[in-house]
Amino acid sequence: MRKHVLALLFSALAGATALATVMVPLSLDQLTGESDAVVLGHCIDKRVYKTGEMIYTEYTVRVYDVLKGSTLKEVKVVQPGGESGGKGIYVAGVARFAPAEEVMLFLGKDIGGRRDLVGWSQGKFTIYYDAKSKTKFAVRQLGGIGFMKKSSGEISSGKPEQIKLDELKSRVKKIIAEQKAKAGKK
Amino acid sequence: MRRLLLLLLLLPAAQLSYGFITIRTNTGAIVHWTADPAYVINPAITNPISKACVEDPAVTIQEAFGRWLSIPDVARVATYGGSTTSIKFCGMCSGGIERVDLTPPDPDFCENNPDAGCDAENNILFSKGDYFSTMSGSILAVTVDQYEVATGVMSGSDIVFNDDVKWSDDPSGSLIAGCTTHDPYPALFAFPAVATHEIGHFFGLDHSFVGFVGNTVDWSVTGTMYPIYFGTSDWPKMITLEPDDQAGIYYQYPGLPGPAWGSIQGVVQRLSGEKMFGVHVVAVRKADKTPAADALSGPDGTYVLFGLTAGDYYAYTESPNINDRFFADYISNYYGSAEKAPFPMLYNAIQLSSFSQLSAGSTTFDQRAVLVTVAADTATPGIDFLYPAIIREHHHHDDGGCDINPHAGSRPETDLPAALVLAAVLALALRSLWKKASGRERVRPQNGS
Repeated sequence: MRKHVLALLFSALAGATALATVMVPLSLDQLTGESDAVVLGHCIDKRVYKTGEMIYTEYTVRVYDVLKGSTLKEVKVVQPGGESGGKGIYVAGVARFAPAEEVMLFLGKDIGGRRDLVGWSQGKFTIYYDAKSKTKFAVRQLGGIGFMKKSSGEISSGKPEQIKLDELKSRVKKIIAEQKAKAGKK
Repeated sequence: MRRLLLLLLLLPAAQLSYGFITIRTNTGAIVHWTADPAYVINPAITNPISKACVEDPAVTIQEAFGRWLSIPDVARVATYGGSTTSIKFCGMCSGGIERVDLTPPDPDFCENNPDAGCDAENNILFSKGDYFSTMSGSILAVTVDQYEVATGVMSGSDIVFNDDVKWSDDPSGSLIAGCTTHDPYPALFAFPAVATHEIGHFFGLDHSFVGFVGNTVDWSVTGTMYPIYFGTSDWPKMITLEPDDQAGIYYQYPGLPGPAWGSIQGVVQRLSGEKMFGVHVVAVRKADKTPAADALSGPDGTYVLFGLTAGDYYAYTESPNINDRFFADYISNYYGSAEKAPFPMLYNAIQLSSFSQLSAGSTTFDQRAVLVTVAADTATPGIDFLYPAIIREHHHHDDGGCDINPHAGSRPETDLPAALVLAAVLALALRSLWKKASGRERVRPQNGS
């Protein structure tokens, strides 16, 4: 049953499309496959910086678990946009982090000590603890991305995408193993 | 005169919240143009299907601008400044990427020009998906707005369409000879629809969620600034600007005499007097039970349902819930676009059943629906909503930025059993200290003694 729910969740997500920043949603398989690293951690710092007139926001995440990639203790995630020196740049669809926010991240390659999120906000799951069920859940904040049937392009549901963290981790680990096996055969 | 009064009443109310959403700086200033902007278009497309299915990108884009500019009494125009061959847009060198599409090729271009495109030229162009993200093709289009933080005055805006995407002027049945690809979603995307939406951002509008409450989407009222692509069959609805879109651009650039819209205004607060921030307030037409406007209450609890035509409406409020938890603080720094909280998640989580059940005094929602008669060109104030003094809350994190959140470490809801255990532990500790202090601590017998 769980497998069916998960399959439904991610297949539904795979068909969603949102506007401006308009994104084509990525399946969990795609997210995992395209990631250089998949980690869990807490956001511990934020810094906004400029390169000329371009502004970026850099978040520092302290890593406590690595599902994919080499060992990492800390990772710096950079997203375009922010405010610095009296100037601001606004780009919809980029991910933002809260203080001490617990997250699972699908990260691009390390370029000069910094990484991008795969698919911007699609590459970030927020983790929260549900005291009632004593369970950790992962929720993805997609900045308005809905859920669309891939075949017809019609909206099927507007519910937030959330999943038990353990299930999400298992799923990602399974995908990683499958992708490794596939790569090994080649 | 009444219109002017209404305008004067609305303009200073920067803390009020509406159905449409304006992009704001972290200090709360509205991001907007103070002078009429000119834009240039680079119509070059490399994707062969897009080439065949988009007859003339410059014409489609100008038509999209025309939809916004045809709204009456909007005191701003954008003018077409001609075509360009420039491939520059603000952010083109993001992610340390090497541009390979330059003529002549210049592998060091981004290293030498990290802020290329972040200038006053408002360029609208196509660019390869690689330049948006590490995942090429995952982002269809981006609008990048530049502004002064203190005033919100815009200094530039670029719109970039992903050249890896298959665009069409009419994906539901192309009118263009040679465009024979009619693949179902998501193969072809409606260029006019996405262009119209992006131009809303160009003018400083953010996403709006009118028509999307609970798990229901009412496409008849959902605006162009709604953040979800409407789909292969419904994309034409995206190019018609709904009252919410019209109200949004008019609010950004109000001209006189202005439309004869009415409004519903009031405060959301607790019986204790505490103002409630971030409560969703909705107006639904009585006649056909369709949502007409919505808003989130501001930090001072005030709200305005703006852009209403004359008629009877049900007004009601609702609590956003996720897993049976109330999320009032979740959007506490919504007023700050660059740091704003995840609106959509909030809206997604609102638990409603159906508009059709709504009636005066309905208890379907958190608060009883109020029947309000709105007159043209008139504000209807005093429609206040009262919540109980104590309401169950869950202080989730605020997605406001990693180191600036004023609500970091907010207290969780009281856990009575845990409090009792803590009290018992404290009592034991105090008793132990008191015994030590009074010399009555019993000495534990030693082995062998």
